[in-house]
Amino acid sequence: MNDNPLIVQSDLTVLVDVSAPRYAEARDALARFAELVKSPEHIHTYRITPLSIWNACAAGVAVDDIAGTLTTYSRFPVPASITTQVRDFAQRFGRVRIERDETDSSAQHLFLHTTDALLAEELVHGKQLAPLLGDRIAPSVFRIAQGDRGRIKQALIKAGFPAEDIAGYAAGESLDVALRTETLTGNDFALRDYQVQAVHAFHALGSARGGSGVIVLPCGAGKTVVGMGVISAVQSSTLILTTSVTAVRQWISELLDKTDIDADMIGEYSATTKDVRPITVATYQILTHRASKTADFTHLALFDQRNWGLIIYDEVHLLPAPVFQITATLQARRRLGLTATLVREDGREDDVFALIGPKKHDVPWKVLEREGWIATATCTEVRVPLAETLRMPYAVAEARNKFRVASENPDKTQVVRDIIARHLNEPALIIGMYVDQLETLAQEMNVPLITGTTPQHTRDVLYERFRKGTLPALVVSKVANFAIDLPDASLAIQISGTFGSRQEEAQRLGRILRPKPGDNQAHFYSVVTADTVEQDFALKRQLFLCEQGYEYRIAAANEFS
Amino acid sequence: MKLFDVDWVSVLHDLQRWDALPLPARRILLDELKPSGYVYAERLEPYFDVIAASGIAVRDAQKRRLCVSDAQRPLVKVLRAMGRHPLFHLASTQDDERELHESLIRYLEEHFTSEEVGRLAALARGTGAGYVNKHTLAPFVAFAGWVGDLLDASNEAAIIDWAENHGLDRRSISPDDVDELLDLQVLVQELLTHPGGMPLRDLLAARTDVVERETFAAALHLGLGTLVIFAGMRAEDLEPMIGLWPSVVSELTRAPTHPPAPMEVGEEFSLAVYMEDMTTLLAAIAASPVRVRANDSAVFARTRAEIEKRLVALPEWVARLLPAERVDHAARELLMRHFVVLRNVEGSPHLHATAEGSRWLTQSTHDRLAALVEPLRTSKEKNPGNGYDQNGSVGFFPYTLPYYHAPKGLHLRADLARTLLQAADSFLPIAEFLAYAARNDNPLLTLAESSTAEAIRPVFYGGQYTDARSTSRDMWRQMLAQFLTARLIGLGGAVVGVHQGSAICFKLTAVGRYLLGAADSFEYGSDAVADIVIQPNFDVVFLGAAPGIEAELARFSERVGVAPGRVFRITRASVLAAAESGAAAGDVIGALARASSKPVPKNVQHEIAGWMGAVRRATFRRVAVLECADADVAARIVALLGAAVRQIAPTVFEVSGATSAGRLAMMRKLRAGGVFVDEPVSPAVVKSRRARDYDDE
Repeated sequence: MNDNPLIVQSDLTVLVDVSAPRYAEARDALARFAELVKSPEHIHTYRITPLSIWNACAAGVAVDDIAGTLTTYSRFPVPASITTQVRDFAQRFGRVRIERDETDSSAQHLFLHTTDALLAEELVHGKQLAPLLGDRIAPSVFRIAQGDRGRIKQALIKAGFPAEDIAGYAAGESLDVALRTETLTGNDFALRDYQVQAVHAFHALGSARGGSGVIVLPCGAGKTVVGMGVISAVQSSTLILTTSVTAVRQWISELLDKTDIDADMIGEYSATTKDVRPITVATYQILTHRASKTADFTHLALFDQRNWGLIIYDEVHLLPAPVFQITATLQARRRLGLTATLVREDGREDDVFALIGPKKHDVPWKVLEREGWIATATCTEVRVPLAETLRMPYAVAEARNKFRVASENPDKTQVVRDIIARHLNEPALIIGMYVDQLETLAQEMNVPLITGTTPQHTRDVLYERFRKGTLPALVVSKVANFAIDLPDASLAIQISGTFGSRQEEAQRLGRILRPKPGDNQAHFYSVVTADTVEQDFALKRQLFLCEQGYEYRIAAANEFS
Repeated sequence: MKLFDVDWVSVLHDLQRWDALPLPARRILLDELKPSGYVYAERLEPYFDVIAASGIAVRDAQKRRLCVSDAQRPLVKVLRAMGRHPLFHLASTQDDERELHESLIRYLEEHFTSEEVGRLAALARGTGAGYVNKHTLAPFVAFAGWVGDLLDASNEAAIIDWAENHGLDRRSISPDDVDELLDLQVLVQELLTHPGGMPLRDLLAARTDVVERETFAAALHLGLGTLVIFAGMRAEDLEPMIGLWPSVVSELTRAPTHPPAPMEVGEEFSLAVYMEDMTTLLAAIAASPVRVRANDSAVFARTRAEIEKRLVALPEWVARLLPAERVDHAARELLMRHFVVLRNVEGSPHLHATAEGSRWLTQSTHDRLAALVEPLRTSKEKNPGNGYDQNGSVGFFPYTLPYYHAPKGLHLRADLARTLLQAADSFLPIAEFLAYAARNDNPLLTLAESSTAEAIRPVFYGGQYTDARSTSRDMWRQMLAQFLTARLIGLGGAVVGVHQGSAICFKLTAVGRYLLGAADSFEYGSDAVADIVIQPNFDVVFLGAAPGIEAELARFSERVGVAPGRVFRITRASVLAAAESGAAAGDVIGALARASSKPVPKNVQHEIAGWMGAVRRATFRRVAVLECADADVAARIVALLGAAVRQIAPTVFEVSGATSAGRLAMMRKLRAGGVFVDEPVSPAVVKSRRARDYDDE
């Protein structure tokens, strides 16, 4: 046994001892071909999957390099089966290539090349793939329709032979756009090093090897800025898809603040506004809206309304199914996915790989935290007893109502006051799920409340006041879960949540991770009712946060009074 | 004999037909062709013609089918039987005694009737009576003495003695039979030089004369029938083979003249596996009595599988040294030590923890082991007895000796300790150690060769048998081997290791030296520094092997993997299970703190303390309930029965502690007072009615 940091297990998971001497170099080498699954304090877990290997292959990592990394940094002998499997995964990548017809630039077809005729034969007999293949013009070459490019890549992934797509992209409408060196609000601005690397990794100097893929950055690390960097590199009309109207406005605000593009070149495409401009920002919801369950998705036409040169999929792990379908037909356009995690609740990571593209860049959040690009967060669970008067209603409530009774424990209000008092002068977000509870709390504390029914104008005004520091606290419902930008929030207090939702927890925590002046410290509190089902669900969130590497403390309410 | 009781002269004669067949044809013949019945050509293709040409089978009139000719039936019968027993590859894996034993059992099942097994086993045991089966017989057949005594028979009288002890009737042994026995002796000598068996054809090739072949056939038949010779098929080329049983060959040919040299080992393993298994099982029993089978008191398969998940995972080479059924073994040990008792629950036997067992469970690791080792050490046994010492406690020796009479002049405990203490400071290879001790450091052998040999004549060779040397070697070897496993390795008294990936070695630990009387005390469970990390997400990660700690943590965490790596996850359910078996939060957190190379995360400590702090106990109690129709009747019941009942609701009374007779007395009292009590609708419910309601009906 040595003091190497990796323990390679035969189930394709790799444990990484962060206190080992060569941890940092091993992590950097490992992260190229394995996905980080969890990163609690001492030992991190990575998983090697076919997709992670293909992502690595797409990024030019050689299989010997992968095997070498495992052997070099492993504490115990690497199980022979792992090396075999890694080689097996890797040798499947690149055996199928999609290329354009170089002899005819206007051709409506592409060529699908396989490395050998036997593989071609196997593909011909694939149920899903066979109908999509055109003429077999050589023993290992097929002609395929441009429009089938995405579906063929999906089918190939399912068959276990990911395609290397080097057929290139349509140029799209040209658009002059550059990043500012000083923002409209008067701050110095430049891409950070890791953002520059992300842009370069994606763009690949405009070659067919780049132009489609996913950038993975933690919440608060500036994914929007990377998106703008890519727009300025591609210099083409861009369709940006994101998760909510608030996020749409945030994108527009950021584009105006940090690029030299005029406001009239940017359009919002949402339920209230249908403005298609060279840069258009739309929500997934509007794209997937339809009059009835059987009706067509009429707004998907937006994809064809302009000759887009780039499509950005914000929060790509939330990409809805209909957008996948349309994306399958948009393979001739450059596609950028932005996300904090490649893991999807629906398990469609392979579709992201096939249709958006492989992972192009990934920076561990601990690195960013250490370098000060995101705030250090401490998580505290504060347990509040349930008042005697509520114990019987709780005891006799049905299972689902039990959670609500516990979540709406009125004694939480005093705890919230106490926490805020402890963090005087720190902008605070109070986040909850039940509107009645939030209304009562907002009223009692005299703090504005934003819910789903709050008009957008009112939201914008409140957000602006919060940003400027004239509003020290805001009470928000689930609307705050996604893509709003509150740069100065350093304190989040959640008083109720969607049972044990990990994604919600990540999003809420993400609200306070942007860098803070001073000690760059953020605080995340969960106020839960002790000895109830709410505490049980909180345990799931506790596990999740610990696995993300956050320090987690459990405190009693009276510690704050 | 069932399948091998054939005319071997004809079988050996026709063996050339089999030799002429190519390998695929042999395979297809064994798979498809039965001694009787037809097989269609397509099932034998493309070797239909080849098989037909060999003469083993003949075509039917339409030439579409083949069947075995009458003359070749014995050959096919023998070949198919051999094909089911690729025995001799075991010669290379003879350390795996379990596999060897199972193969032998299968062989006995296939080739010997229960009467034959009974006769051979009875002879082997020398008792001539009692229940015997293949399991009784197998160990004797695997003893070197079973064959060795034939080799040692140096004259006609001795060989006739041997024959009598192997099932032949002395009165019917003719001079020809003696010749056959002598031929068998020669054949056995020949086979002794081939631990992996010999192809029948090679043996046959050396006997060209017809008479020689007939004698060979007779000797072979005799050897097969007395379980001296075994027949099987070499798997890779389907070559018919005969040979001696692998362990017999290895024992008879292994004659080390020097004590084994100390060896360096790579991988090491040291853990009181038996104690840890007993702890795990007893913890489960303490939480909820475990149901066992009525016939053999074994734990039911599903429960056993659940408990097995919690046992320490052993490296494969260590597992081979210990009993396969660890849960059942632990159950037996717990029963023997009175840590559990068998008690019926609703008609089914269950293992219940005793107060003694519960106390043992709450002791420290060291004290738990001491509680197991101390009675062995203080036992007064000098020689193996009946498995228990004079006080009825578990004895020092894990076995009994099959003697007619208690041996005199022996102090096997001292001999055993002296022999084993050779491994006090360095690793010795187990197989060589045992082989050397059996031949060169064997008190039984010394005695057997002395004038008092009669005193130690083993039971299983009967009163007529005179040469006890090979038996004494087997016995001492087995005694040492069993002690090594059951009293040393299983109780943490020896650390085992692997030399160059093959030879398994052992060295005594402090526990072992203490048990053998070479030390006054021992340290165990002092928790050597281990590379184990308790993560804030409740994972327990082993960065190296630490089986002792693994066993301890298994009591309050769920196993999710095998070390090294993520081995356990601490969950509310696992912590509550530990609480139910008597552990306190301090115990659990303390164990984690001792095990972890980093501080136990505060949130983990907080949750464990919270979960265990919320534990409360309640008791189920059987009571009878007396129900009545209304408050008026209730008042009359109170008046009639007074403090004998307790009102637990306006019209319900608890009648606790009353016997059937007591309840009958109450019923009479109520009846006399005009409150009639119905027959109970269930054992625990008694309903009453007003007398006047009854009258109204």
